[in-house]
Amino acid sequence: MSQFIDNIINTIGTVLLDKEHQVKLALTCLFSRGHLLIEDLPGMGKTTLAQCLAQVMGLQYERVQFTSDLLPADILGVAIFDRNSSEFRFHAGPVFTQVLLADEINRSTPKTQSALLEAMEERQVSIEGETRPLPEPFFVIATQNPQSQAGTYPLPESQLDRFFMRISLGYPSAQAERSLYKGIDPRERLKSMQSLVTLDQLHTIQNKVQEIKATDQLLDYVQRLVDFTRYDEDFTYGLSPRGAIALLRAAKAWALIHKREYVLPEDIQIVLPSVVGHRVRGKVGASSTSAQHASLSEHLIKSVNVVET
Amino acid sequence: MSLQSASVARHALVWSFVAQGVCILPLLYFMPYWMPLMWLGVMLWRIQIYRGAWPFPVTKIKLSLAGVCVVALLASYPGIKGVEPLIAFLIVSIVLKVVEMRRRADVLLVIFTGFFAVAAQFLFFQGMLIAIYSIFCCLVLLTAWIAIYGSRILPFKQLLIASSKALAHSLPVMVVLFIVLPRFGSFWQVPLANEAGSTGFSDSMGPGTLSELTKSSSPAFRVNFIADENGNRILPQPKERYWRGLVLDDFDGRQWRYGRTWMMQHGYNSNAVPVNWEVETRSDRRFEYEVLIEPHNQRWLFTLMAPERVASTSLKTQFAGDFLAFSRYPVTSRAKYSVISAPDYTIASEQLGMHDRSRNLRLPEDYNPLTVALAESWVEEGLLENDIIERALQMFQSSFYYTLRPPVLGRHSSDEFLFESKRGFCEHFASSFTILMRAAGIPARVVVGYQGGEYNPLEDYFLIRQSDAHAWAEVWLTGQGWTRVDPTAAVAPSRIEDGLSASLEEEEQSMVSSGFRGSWMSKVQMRIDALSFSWHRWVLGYDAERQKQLLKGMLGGTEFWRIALFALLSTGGMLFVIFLWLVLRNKRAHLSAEARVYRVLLGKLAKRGFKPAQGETPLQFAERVAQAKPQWKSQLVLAVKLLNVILYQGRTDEIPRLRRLIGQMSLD
Repeated sequence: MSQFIDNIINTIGTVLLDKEHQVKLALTCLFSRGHLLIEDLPGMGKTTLAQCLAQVMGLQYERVQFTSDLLPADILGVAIFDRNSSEFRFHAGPVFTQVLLADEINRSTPKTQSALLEAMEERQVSIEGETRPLPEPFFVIATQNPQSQAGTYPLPESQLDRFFMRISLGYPSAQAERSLYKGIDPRERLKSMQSLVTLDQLHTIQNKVQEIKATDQLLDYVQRLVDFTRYDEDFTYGLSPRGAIALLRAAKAWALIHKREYVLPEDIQIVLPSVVGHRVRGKVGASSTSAQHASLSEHLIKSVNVVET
Repeated sequence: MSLQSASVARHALVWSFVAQGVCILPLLYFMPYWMPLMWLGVMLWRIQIYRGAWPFPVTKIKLSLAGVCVVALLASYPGIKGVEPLIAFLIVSIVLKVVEMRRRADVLLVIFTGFFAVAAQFLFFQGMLIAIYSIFCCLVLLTAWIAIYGSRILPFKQLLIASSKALAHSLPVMVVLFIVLPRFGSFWQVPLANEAGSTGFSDSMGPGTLSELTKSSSPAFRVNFIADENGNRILPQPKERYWRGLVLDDFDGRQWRYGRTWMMQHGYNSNAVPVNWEVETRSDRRFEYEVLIEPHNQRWLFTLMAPERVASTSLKTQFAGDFLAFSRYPVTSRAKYSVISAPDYTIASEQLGMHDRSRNLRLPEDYNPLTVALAESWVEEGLLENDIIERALQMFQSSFYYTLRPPVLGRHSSDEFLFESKRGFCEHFASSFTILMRAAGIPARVVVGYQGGEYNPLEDYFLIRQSDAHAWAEVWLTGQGWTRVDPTAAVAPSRIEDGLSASLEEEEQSMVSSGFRGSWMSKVQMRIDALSFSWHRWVLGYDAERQKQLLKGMLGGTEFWRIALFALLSTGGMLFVIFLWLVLRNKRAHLSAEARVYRVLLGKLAKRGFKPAQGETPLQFAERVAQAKPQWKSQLVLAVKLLNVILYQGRTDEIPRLRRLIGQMSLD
């Protein structure tokens, strides 16, 4: 089993150079059955990461480019009258897939955003009075431009909470970028990529995450962290129970990726900025830029004792 | 939210109003009438500022406001004197501060000034209730402080718990400081306000003077009797409880006066009775007692006859003629003095000086002709001194009434009393009797003071109230000297044995304000008075003398080092107990075995100057240490890996192994 995971990471690494940490985080998110939000500037490889993941996992993949005139029906699907059979037939939208890349989600109107986010949460879609389940697994990777860019509709906090993790890829290292210039287009390599995992194997991994052990000592630590966000004056509001559970589950998945059967506080600390960052807001200044969230997470980690002695 | 934050939140505003109000409320009672109005006005103003209706006052308005208040103060206290104007100034300043509370720091300032107001309360009251109230004030102030200081609004219960804890921490320190801080005497005493003793009698007595007093149940003084070295204690019989205050020997036909007021200031400057006074004691019986006297703004002190010594640490006591004890200055605050009295005495038995004799025989002309005639008829009958006294007392006994509501008497008060109304209170009997004696040629004088007293078994003392005020007579008999004769005893013996209300008709008993004798209320009253007595005795009466005794008893000496050591050890000890409790409660009790083993490792590293930063995991900490001390790396990594297994894999069975590992570590 652990070979699969290493294989996956290495394979994606050949396409997405020098981004092992982010790849691991994305896998953590996938294994925890959560959805991923990637916040970055255009052209940083967001789409490539999503495609890689779908390809390697052997999953069905759809991509929707969000624009300001995109309507909910464009994502969910629509019932069309069939003249031959004289009845309405449902044409499934791109949401009926296993991996959905929602590109630049913050460029569409809130109406469309919430249609997708509801589907993410419920893992089913109700259209024309009929409830249709989404395929299993259902993994959404949404990308978003930083809000400073014009013409965007930033996601409200309640919507952000639906995303299990938020990561940002960042610029590649100088060395990696140089090899990008020299080598062939990584996307060419993408086409030749083989799927490494079967659906059953993926399910096994996802179930295995639940079995990773978290001792009382560790739960105490998580609880102290959550408490701190609720009572420290730098936080406008604290972490919700959903956020706390996400933190723990992400740490478990991270431990699994690192072939451990139990969670270490280091796991918590590594996944914390990605899981907690978009769920809290600092008090000073209203704008919630990534940099501020990162420093807020750092503040959180630096302020809470790992072991109470 | 920083302290400099620009606005004052609503809860901070409310808390500052409440806290300030609680602190200055008792003081406002003594302040001019405009001050409560000003206080309300200022609060209203500040509320309007909060609502945004009115702006903050500009400097010009503030200055003129302060000016107006100062002028008002000068008008209310013409010729500033005493402590009230200064307290009034303090209150004006802290109340006015409210309108310029702009930032949170200003609100805190208002809270802090509240503590001054609490201290000022003690200039007006020193009772136990006000002490309890002042602690309550401190609690409110602390709660307000915490509420305002905190960045978030906490529930009231939580605030109260926090402030109670803070207060509870400070109380032991307060007790220690109370015990050890030097007690200064009158050296830097602040003139206490409103000690003006309420009632009590003056240095003259006319008809109706004392019956007025009986309407007051307020205490005059309290007495506790002290046992001698053998542990024996003699208490005076009810008929011996004549607390002598003043001798009135100057009669102008209407009023009896103390004729030698100059004696009060220029008495015999000694605590003991001068040796040349002709006093003989007939037995070894002695009463030794301490009197805690309420302020009565007079100089005289009360003693049982015949006092031998009077001493006090707070009063300058001295004797004047006629065995009267005085304080050199009026008693304006509660004071204590101790007396030794010899109840079996004879004074000036051989002969009375010419001057004294004529003074105690003098009667004004043209007053009470019938009384004088009656006395002269007795002399003409050839009766002797004792017989004349006997005859007078018999007369009282046969046809006179003891009442609180005597009829109004005219110019010849004694004549009207003796031959017409025949109803009177103790002053009537004492006065008429003395006039009779003087007319019959027996030197006599009126004595005023208190008679009786209520024994309080809870704290073992006698309480003498204003309603116990009494007047009696002293006559000089050849061979016996000055002798006490109480004509009231002849009319109403129960007055002497059982107290005033027992001797009155039922309908008059309600007029006597002696508390609630006999009912369950009296028990409550007794308990309250006992508490207040202990308060006066142990807290307010804790003077340099008592401190010395206590410290000697506790520490075996009063050297500076003993006191300093005691203060240090006791406060330090108490703080240490609190510290231990906190440590044990927070750490040991909730600490798991896993965490304790980590503590051992941390302790080992802490000795070598390494401490984990906050938020550092055991592994990160170990790596940091290993970077500084590469030679420890292998041991540390081994230990921490095992620790992680214990802590996070739940392998508690590995704890002994880790303990061994840590024990074997050689870190140098």
